[in-house]
Amino acid sequence: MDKEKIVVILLLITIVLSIGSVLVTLNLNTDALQTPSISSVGGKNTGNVNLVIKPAPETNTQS
Amino acid sequence: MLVAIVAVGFATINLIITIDKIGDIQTLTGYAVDTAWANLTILSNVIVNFTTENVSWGSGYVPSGSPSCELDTQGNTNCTGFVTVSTGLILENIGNEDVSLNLSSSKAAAAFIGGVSPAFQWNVSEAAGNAGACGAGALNISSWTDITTAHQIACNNFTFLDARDAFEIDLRIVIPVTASTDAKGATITATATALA
Repeated sequence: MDKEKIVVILLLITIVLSIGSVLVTLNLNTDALQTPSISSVGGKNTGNVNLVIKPAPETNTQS
Repeated sequence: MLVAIVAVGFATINLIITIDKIGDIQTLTGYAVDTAWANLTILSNVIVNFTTENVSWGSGYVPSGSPSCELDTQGNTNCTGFVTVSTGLILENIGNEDVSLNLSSSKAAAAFIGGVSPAFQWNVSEAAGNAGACGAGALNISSWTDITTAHQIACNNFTFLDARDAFEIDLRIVIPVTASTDAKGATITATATALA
């Protein structure tokens, strides 16, 4: 085989490989990574005070 | 010759695209040939939280013949029927900043209890196991103090460090016999402000 033919074949192989490399590289997924949303839990800054005032029970007096 | 030129052209394009894409990967994953950077900003977070948020004395009355009776959250009572409460409201700094702490109430004594000469007071102390919660400062409500609807400063330097980040807010009420007999409720609000 002529040297020239060999060179041409090699070059053609190079082209094919390059095209393949381009296709692979273009298909790399470089989308932004999904990061979990970070949410802070809010505090409860109010406290409650409760009671029920009842009337004192009546006391029976006998005369 | 033409084929060779085309081959070189494709190889050059491939190189450019590959460099560009690998650059993106480095940015996203920190993959590094020799150095990597990870940057983040921790935001200031000012949050206080009532871990004990309710004080409830249940129901009861002023003993017959007495002009008034009193209850507090330190286990003291001379009223009749009410639940004995031994722990006050517990407030914790769950943020990542030391803060100035103000307290206020939705009602003062007259609106909360009513009658003649009622009392509604608070007393702030460092919660058990939280010595130093007021930092280098002093607690401003360190004895029984009348509760108001206006803000009262409790501590100028409420720290966020674990085991130094909680206060107990004790409460005391005096119920006059002239107070109306019904359900009574008030809300205590803690307001935290990051230190400058």
